Amino acid sequence: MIRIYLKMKEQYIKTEMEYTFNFWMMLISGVVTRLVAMAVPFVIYKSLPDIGGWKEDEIYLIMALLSISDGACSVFFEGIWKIPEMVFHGELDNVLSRPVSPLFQILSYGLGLQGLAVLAFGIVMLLVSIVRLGRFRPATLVLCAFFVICGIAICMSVYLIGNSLAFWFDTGGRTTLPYAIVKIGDYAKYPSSIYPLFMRLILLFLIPFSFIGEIPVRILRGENALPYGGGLVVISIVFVVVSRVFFYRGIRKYESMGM
Amino acid sequence: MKKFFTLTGISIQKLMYYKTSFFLNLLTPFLTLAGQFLLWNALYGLQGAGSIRGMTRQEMFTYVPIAFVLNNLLSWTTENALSREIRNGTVVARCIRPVSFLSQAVAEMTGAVITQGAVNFTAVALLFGLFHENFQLPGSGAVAAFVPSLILSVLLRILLVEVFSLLCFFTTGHLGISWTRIALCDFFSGALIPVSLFPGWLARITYLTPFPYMVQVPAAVLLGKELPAGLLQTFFLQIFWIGVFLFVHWRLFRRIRYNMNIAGG
Repeated sequence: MIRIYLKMKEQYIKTEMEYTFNFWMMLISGVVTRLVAMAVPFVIYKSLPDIGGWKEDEIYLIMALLSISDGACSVFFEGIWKIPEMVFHGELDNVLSRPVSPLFQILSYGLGLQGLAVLAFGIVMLLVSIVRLGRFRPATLVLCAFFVICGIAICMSVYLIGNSLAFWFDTGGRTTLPYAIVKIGDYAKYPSSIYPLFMRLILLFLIPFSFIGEIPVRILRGENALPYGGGLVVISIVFVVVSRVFFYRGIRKYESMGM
Repeated sequence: MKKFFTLTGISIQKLMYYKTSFFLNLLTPFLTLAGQFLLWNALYGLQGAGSIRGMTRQEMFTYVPIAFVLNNLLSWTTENALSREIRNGTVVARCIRPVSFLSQAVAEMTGAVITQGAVNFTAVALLFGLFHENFQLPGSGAVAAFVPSLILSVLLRILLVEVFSLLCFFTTGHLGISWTRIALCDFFSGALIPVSLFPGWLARITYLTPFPYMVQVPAAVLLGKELPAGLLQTFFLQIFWIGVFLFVHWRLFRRIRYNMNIAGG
């Protein structure tokens, strides 16, 4: 299975690299979008000494972890974003008729080129932030690797749930629902403690992007490492299972061509 | 003008064909607005003091929805309609219609601006009406100066989107171009954070670009805040940038037309 997956990704990257200008444009867009996202806290910190007790580099560290998860999802699971279009055009017929798991096929479909840049940018940002925070130690790097794995699992699950909603809503193959979820997830760039309770609950349990960035940084700060670490693992597993169930329930609603 | 309004009407009908999608598209940007309110409310709450860089909470709370309205007059689907047509070849239909290429795009985007603008302005008017004590309501003089600035900013935005879309004639995809444009627009227009909060050097650079004339400038006109130049000069700067984009569009489209191959044509 993994060999098929890697082979497919290899073919996609080869195809994309055929078109040089487009390839570089996608990479540039990945970097520009993240630079702009970073510029907002940069400007805010020019006017404020801290945000709820959080230093500027800690905010960049949160953003780095979010970038890595988002970038990795784009590189490895870009097919998730094709679900609404595939449902609308009846392209899932092909997927369902092959003797391989439909979810596996969807996950291995396509490759988000900008994700490569976002991923690389996130890794650089992460390393710079932990150096500037004086936490550059082997243990921190191992912990970060663990956070990234959990983050990718959460990110992928949330995107899968969001895009699988296309099975229930007839939106002409273009739905903004997953983007709405991403927009809510954007609030997680800042520590949830600055938001009202309802928003904190959303970011922790409904669209748990706080577990991708903020909670790992809290662990690195030495705050309640065990409960937060346990929560991170539980949330990751729960969301992976729920998203899988959601996707297969959605497939039952699929009506083939002419939906 | 009749052809222009016919195309605008068709654009509105096309947008409303998938109703779920239409309403979701209209409402999704409001999540960004809610996020902006939550963030600035928290920052002013944490700050304790009444202002951040001379901008009071009331001024910021007024700026945020106005900037939101101005920045969200076009949806992702509308902004990328031409790019998608260029990529899948259906742009050929635009080339054979007896209306200029630019007029068609402007008419279509005007249709989208009318629907999204109606929703955005209604929502913000309701917000201002219900919680007026939290906002700095503009005077009639400011509103009168705002209207021409708004029209110029919308035209500037449409032309910017159009020129960036034309670049898709030279690429094999449109997402990279669209994402780059949106990221630059969102930040340098003042949609994410007012340009008046930027450090001096960054604000000076920003005012040399066309972006702040789409959001920051009309919002500042309405709120009576500092402009990069006098009011009349600011209008001229908006017109200047419109002229620049018209020129770029003309040059770019001329080159595209000479190189364009239409299958079967």
